[in-house]
Amino acid sequence: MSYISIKNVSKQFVRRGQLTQALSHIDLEIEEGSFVSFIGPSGCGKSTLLRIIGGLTEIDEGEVRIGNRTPLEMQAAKQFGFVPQAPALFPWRTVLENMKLPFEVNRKNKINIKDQEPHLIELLKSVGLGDFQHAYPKELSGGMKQRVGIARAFATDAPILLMDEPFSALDEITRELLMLQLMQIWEQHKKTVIFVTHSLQEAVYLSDKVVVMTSRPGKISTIIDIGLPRKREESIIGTDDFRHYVSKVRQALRERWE
Amino acid sequence: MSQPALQTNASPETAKNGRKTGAEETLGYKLKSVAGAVMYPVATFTLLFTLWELAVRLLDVKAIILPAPTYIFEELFGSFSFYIPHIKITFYEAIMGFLLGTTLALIGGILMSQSRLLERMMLPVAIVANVTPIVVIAPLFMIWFGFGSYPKILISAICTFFPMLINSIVGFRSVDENNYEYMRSLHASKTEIFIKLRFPNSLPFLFAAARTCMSMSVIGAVVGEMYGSTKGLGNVVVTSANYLEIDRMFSAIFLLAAMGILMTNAVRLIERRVLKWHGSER
Amino acid sequence: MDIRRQLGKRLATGGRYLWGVLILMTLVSCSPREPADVPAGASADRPSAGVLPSPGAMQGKTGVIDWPARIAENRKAGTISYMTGFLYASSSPDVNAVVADELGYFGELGLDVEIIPGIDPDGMKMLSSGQVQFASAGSASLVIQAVANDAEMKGIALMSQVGLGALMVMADSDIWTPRDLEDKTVGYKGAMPAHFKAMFSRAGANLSRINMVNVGFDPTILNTDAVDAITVFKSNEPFVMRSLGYEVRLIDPIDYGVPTSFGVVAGNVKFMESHPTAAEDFLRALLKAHEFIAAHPDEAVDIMARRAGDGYNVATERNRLLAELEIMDRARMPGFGIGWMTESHWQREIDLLADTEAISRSVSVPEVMDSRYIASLYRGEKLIWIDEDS
Repeated sequence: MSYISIKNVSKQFVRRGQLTQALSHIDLEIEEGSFVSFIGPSGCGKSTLLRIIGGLTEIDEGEVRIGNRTPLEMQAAKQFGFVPQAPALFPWRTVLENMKLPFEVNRKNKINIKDQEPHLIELLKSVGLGDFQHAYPKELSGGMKQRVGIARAFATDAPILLMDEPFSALDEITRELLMLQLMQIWEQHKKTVIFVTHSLQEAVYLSDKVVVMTSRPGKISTIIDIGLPRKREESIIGTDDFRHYVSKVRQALRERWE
Repeated sequence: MSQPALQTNASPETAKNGRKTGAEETLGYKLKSVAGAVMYPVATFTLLFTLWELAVRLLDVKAIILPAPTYIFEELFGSFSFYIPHIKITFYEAIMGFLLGTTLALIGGILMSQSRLLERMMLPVAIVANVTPIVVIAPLFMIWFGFGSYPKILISAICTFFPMLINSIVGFRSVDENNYEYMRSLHASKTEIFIKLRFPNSLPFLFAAARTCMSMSVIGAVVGEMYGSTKGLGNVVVTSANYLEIDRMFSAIFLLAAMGILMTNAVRLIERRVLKWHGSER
Repeated sequence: MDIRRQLGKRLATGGRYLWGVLILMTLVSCSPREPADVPAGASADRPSAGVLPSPGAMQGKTGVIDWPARIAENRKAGTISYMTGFLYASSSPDVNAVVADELGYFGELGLDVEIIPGIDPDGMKMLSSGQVQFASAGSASLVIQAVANDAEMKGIALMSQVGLGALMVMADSDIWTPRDLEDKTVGYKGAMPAHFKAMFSRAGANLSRINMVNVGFDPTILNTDAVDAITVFKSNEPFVMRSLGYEVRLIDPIDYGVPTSFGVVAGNVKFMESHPTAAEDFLRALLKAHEFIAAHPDEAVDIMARRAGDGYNVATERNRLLAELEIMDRARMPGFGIGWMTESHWQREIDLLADTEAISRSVSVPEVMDSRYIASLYRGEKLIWIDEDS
């Protein structure tokens, strides 16, 4: 069901009267339950590609299938957990109420939301925010809010998680900690994750595959398999293997400039 | 599995039930904070009135030009029962006008925020209504709608309408991009997006407008009462002005000011509760 | 603990501030306010003693007036401002002032007069603050109410001892007396004048059963179901209605013992006491103008039209002038000239206001009028003018 197939996809944007080729003839296959990062310079189309998968952006050319359904069909079936760059928490809802939001919208089966509470509280605990259920977003720091966003992505048990640079607005220490926490939760629930990032370290640590993209026009330059063992312990950062993959990705990114 | 610890300024104690605990919840604290809040405006007004009184006496200003506060208060508290029915009527007209104007503004805001076409068609009409001086409209309304409270409520509603409309359009439109995308990722319908996102998002804007609109609605009711009325503080102002009953005129003006202040503060109190999640509330 | 202490400190300083202000306020309001000064010994007939020149002082022992000396004295008074009671409507005494200006009567007497169009409630305020020296008031009631609010002004002439106000109903209305107004609606503009309320009660009507609504200036509202009667000026709205084709009827306060008055000339007390001859001569010029207006009403209306500029309705104003002249003439006290007034005129007006609770404190006649100025202007019914005093 989460087997994502992207064939010959192109997308153009008109910005200020100018035509930009955001994506040009993209071909990509993503296996179910894998953690895939998109990395590349600004304007390479990685965020656009993520949104295309999630049915948030239309394509001009090509075909995208998830299982045998289109992105919009998957979206209508609430198969996505979306974590945007800045935490999409509604300020007028408490943390717990924000966690309930995906259940309230586009209600499929008559789920009793109240029954979900213990599960949601468990998720909050797993990101270290169990005591903050009744806090309002204004009482939380940026990192805490993003942790809620990540916990929320797992709330409805959606098979595909789409994360668009979720840590980029945070400071480095928080980024590292959240990166580790994300890995811990993912180990528990094993979803298909599309993860857009600028950070080589994140891409290597988190992913099974790193898709390196280039810009103008947006294309995939290489796909690098990360052969590091699952599960990824913190200690793996800094090992020779790890650094090997990091330089592989760096190399692929630099190729464009040669 | 050890959870990485993060340093923040939010602590479980303050966030436990979203409210502060401990010493801050006692009745004593609450009483003190109310007293503290009321004390400064009371002192300021008392100081203002004292300066006014001194000025009138020292400069020998005649009552017909500007009466002394003591003269005004003598009349106000001396014949307070006279004012009560007038206060009730004006208050009723202002509140009803406010509610009517707000309701229409919200409906207009919903329609205009969803459709740029509707906005372009309807907004100029709203602007014209806003710009036309109500002093001109009031006698017309009296002729069309008679002498009851109805025309005054309408005028009061007109005064409320425009600021509320603009703020509601802005509030409905200016949603956070990320929040909007998140809703779309769940395949939320337009209605759901409106109810769950746009409307709560607009509340700070609506309350900000409400504070102004409360005063505007009182002004509207007063202007309305200048034509075709038998009761109301606006009527008292005009009648006593014509009779040169300066003390009564100023008493009515003071009452109107007090009404405006109380109503605005009532809005603020409600706002504080409803918008307790909002960053601006301090 | 810390929060409480901080709060306590703040309350203490704030509280001291508040207490200080309250004590100050109490001290200030406890000192008694002086009532308006009543000049000692001033009455309708005897001149007041004192250092200031009194009216009539320029009359020599034989009664011959030294005109050049007067004129010189008048010039010293500087520019005299006069505010009209209803813009440029041809109503007395406003029309008198404009005609006197136009025909040079003020100039002949050495007076430099500036005429400012206005409305009489504003005129009362301007007069009180000394921004104008003279103003007209539509009725003695207005002057009395102003004085009750400590205005330092007095009425010095009354153009008509009979008022202009009346109640207008449609000709086919079944309202014939004020009693018929019970459970009906009466429209007024501005405020319900006190003499109407007096008329209602003297006719035996129950005031609380009469619905009184402010309806603005358009008389045609009488033709709608909204009102059953409206307050009008005899010289104005009936004519307007008839020219629009509506037949109307008037209920006159005189018939119910409420004659009132109209056309009051009021002056600022300080000014008049320091320049009594100017006050007399200003009044003199107004009254001289009356002779012209009575003899040449159309020319008088023309003069007003020119002064007023665009939008002047000549037909309406001509009717107003003629109607008022007629009333003034009928109301004049035999043996006395136009503008003459007595204590009783003012006392009855004061009583009217007191009965209808329309003034805030009681006033006495000497506080509201001074008839010394007009007293010196007439010999019987003849106005004393320059070089005519033989």
